[in-house]
Amino acid sequence: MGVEKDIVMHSIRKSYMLTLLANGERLDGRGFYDYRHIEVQKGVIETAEGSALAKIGSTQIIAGVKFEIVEPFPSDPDKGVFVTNAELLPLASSRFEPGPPGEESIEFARVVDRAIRSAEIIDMESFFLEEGKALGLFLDLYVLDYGGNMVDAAGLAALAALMNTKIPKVENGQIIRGEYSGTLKIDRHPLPVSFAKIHHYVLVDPTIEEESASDAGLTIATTEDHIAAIQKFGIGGFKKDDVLNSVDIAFEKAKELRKYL
Amino acid sequence: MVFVIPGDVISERPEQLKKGTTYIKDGKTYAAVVGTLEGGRFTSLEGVYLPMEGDPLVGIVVDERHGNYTLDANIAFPVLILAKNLGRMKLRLGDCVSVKVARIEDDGTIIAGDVRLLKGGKVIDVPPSKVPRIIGKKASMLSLIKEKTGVDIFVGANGYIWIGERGKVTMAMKAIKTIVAKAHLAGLTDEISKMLGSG
Amino acid sequence: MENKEIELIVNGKRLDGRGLHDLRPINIKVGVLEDADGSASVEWGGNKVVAGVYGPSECIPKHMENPFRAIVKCQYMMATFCSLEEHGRMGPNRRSIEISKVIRQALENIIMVELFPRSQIEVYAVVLQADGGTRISALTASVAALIDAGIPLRDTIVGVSVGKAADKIIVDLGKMEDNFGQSDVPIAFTNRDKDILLLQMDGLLTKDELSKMIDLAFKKGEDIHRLMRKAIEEKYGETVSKRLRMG
Repeated sequence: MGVEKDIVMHSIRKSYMLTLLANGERLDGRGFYDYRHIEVQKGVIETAEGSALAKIGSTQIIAGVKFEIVEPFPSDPDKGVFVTNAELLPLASSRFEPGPPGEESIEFARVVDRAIRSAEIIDMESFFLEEGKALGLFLDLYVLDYGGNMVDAAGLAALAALMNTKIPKVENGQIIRGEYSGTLKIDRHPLPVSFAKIHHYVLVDPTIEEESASDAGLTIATTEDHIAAIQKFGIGGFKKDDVLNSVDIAFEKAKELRKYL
Repeated sequence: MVFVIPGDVISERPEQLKKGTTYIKDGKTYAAVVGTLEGGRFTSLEGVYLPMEGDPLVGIVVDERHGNYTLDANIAFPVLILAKNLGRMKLRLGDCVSVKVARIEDDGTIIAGDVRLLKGGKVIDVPPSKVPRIIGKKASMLSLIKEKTGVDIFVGANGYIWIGERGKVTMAMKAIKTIVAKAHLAGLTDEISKMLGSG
Repeated sequence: MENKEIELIVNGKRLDGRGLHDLRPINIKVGVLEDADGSASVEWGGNKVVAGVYGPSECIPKHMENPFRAIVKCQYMMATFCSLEEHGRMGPNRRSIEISKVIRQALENIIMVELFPRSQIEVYAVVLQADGGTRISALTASVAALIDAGIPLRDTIVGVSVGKAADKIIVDLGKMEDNFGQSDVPIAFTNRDKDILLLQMDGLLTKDELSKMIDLAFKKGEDIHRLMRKAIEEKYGETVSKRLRMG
């Protein structure tokens, strides 16, 4: 998204935040491992082959799926193609400026993509059409409102959109828009759970203020039984115990998040 | 009571009202922001804060250069405290201060004076258009809140409000939040009185 | 670009059953985003647009600032999945850049920019679903978002597309009429003084046809203005706690 401006965290507010954390409290009164209010709506965009809107607190992300006929990658000539892109829209935050994707939006898109790809939940072989032709599934994420923790909202939106996706009919090597040959079968549900580390406190679902006060972040995506993706964000460090403890919490939280799909 | 939006007529005559909320064209006065019109009186419900000389502001020190400090006051114009106006006082980044608008330069820069350090506590951010309601007629609403909760509060015209640490802070915050949500409704003073407990 | 194979008007009714001068259903909501200073969503027929406004704030980059007034930055963009047909590409293209410019110029006319020297006001509109008339939908959402932000405006802007299909003058063109009709004229103007701030046209028209179209647009503008007023009033119908940040 071009230049991403830094939020100046007022030291007056950070010290207040730390006082609360020492007492086991967060600014908005949540427990350390609680999510804000969550909402997921599927099928919100009729022009897309699959879509969903996910809200966590004030963060809102919309995911849309479109198919195109593409050439398979040379490394996987008998499979379809799956591409994830994300855009941090300038209307979502005063921090986001118009422009080509910056490193933050690229990293964010790739983390969401990795969870889905590792879990192998899309049957890419079924997208193969004929030599040199396959279906490409394009999953595009737009951040509409940024209140912190884009990754988890994006993970929910992405998976809900995939669960909502209809596969278009293909005739003579062309997609017939508006006609469908089936729906995408999703039988595993990888979801990211993100943590922010402020001093030695580790919090789930950070708000925008907690993110800007944090030294580092960690996202762990899990399916029902495996870890599917991990990304550590920021400059600060995590201890091994922090990471393993977070894995346990991620499994537990992802299970709760799945109820919204 | 009539609800008005930008472009609606407020008066058939040119009226000198608060800058930035109305404008005069061809001898008539029009609304520039959303508001209400009652008995010929226009009250804005939204608006961007335009600083005036004498306005009290709450700001946070975000930069220092050669002894001059720049404040974040959440407005489009830079707010400066000049070294010469501080005397022996020293400020640090992150300090919260209350100031008065001493003068406004031609390019919009605000020169602040009457600097007072606000120690501890916290700053909250409300829409500036709600500030008059939080203060109330002759500061009656603000006095009521301070008296009933025992909390030290400083309200900046720019929408930053400093809230001290001691007293019933949660109750004071709830009162302010209610005023912001219901500023346009009648019966607010009674509701706040009840909320804070009479006697 | 006329396509005689598609009958756009049959027995006085258009493809979606509307009469020649009927507007599609329009739904405007303000205050739909938390972070933005002002925001609005517009559902207009099959169009879905969200707009967000920031400012006035410090002008960045500083060398773009104007010592006498705020500069207005405006970006109109379309989501990759907004079209039923192809998957679009992310990022601006020539069409979206042109539309950003014409929208910005319309808005600059009504924003009281002289009150905010050296500042910037940003307006962003995203088309999530497109169905003909996206620039008017985006402009409508942008105006509502500016009002929601409390930025002083001289007037509201209302707009509608007028056009010609099957030799008949029609209002509010849908996607098919836009693609296959004889002429498409998006027009936007200030509600009170009817100053035309956006006007584009393609196809072939006579002066008389254009004049009739403008009158028709002015008439329909009143309906749209009513909807905008209603959307803003609705915001005050319930308690507004969106923008209070507590610590």
